[in-house]
Amino acid sequence: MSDDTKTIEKLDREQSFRDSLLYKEFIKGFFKENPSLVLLLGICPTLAVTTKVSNAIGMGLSATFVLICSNILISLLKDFIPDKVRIPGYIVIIASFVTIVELIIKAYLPALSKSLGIFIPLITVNCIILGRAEAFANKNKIAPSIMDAIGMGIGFTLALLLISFIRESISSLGFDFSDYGGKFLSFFTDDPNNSKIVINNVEIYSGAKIFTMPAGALFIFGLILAAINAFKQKINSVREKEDV
Amino acid sequence: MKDDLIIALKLAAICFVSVLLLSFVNLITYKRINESNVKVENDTNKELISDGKFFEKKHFKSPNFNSTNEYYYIVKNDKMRRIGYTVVVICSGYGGEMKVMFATDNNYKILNMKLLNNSETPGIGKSAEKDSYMQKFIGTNTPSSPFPFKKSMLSKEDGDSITGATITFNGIALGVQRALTALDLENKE
Repeated sequence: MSDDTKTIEKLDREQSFRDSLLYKEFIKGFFKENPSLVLLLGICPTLAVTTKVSNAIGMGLSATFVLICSNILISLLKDFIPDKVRIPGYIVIIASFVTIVELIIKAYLPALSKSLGIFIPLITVNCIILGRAEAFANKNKIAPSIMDAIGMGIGFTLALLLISFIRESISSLGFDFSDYGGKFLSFFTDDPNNSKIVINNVEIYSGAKIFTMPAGALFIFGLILAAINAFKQKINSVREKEDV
Repeated sequence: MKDDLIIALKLAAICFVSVLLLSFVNLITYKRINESNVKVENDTNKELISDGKFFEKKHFKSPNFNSTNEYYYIVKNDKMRRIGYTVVVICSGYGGEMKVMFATDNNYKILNMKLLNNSETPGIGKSAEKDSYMQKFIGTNTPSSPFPFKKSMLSKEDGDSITGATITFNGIALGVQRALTALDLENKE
């Protein structure tokens, strides 16, 4: 078999994977149905924990783990759990996985546990988890449910990372990874408490602390939503022109 | 009736499997979480009384205290002289139990205080984790400056600072006062 034939077969396989249902379920959570930025689910933890990039990573991975495990189990048990009590059933399953995550973080990453605080137990009532269980996992087979959970989890993590990246850059002029045993990566100095821009011995900027607060989070979140809506409108107008 | 029983049994089965799973994870993580809590406590001991070199753990004799969670340390300096106490007390907050650690000198004057494990509301009760919040207690419990165990004993400025988080303040203040009274009583004996 020639190299060209192999390449064509490989491309065909990639194309058929992209056209497959599993791939569509996986990719939709990244942008098209991003849980935080498009579906506007789980806004409370999104605004609360995005003070630091390290918090966003911890929260994103924790929520993704819970989402994958709960979607797998709910998809498996969808015929076993009676319809009348499906919500209490889902909550027990989700709460169990959240408690597992909480115990593991407390044991192995105590600084992150302290930093995320009440928001880890609150994953139990995160709309994204219960929403995917109710809207997807209990209607679909295990493989699409896993892909949906991974996609939604990555989408949620990416949204948290984007907001926290902007917030921490503006407020702290660096990224604090001390929760993971790392150190503060400052843009300008090595001192985590004293990151600032100094020109000719004059302090120009030492971080806007408003962005560590919920008001700052809401401001950044609003701007990102506006940018996404503008982008969508532009795409729609281009498509309309193409149709005409 | 039979259908309801089946539903109840199915829910019970889910709960039972969850409990088994959680027990297993707890078994794996319990030791490590305890070690981490002990480390935090040791570090806080040194932070509360910087001159303290030796910390001798004691349990309250009073049955009003939970012996596993509430106890105190007799703090000694490098010359083995007693310089005060550090106390671990469980207080009742808005989000459940709060672990508070505080240090006193030999006359039970509050030297320092810290809020450790808690589930208080971020931005409201959680602000008690800040050192500035605890300033209202530091230096109190002397004849001239009684321990502020109720809001009316605070200055206007301090009273305003706990607005919205009164339950957290009351929990900490009453818990610490309970421990101070017991500490005084035990050492008199």
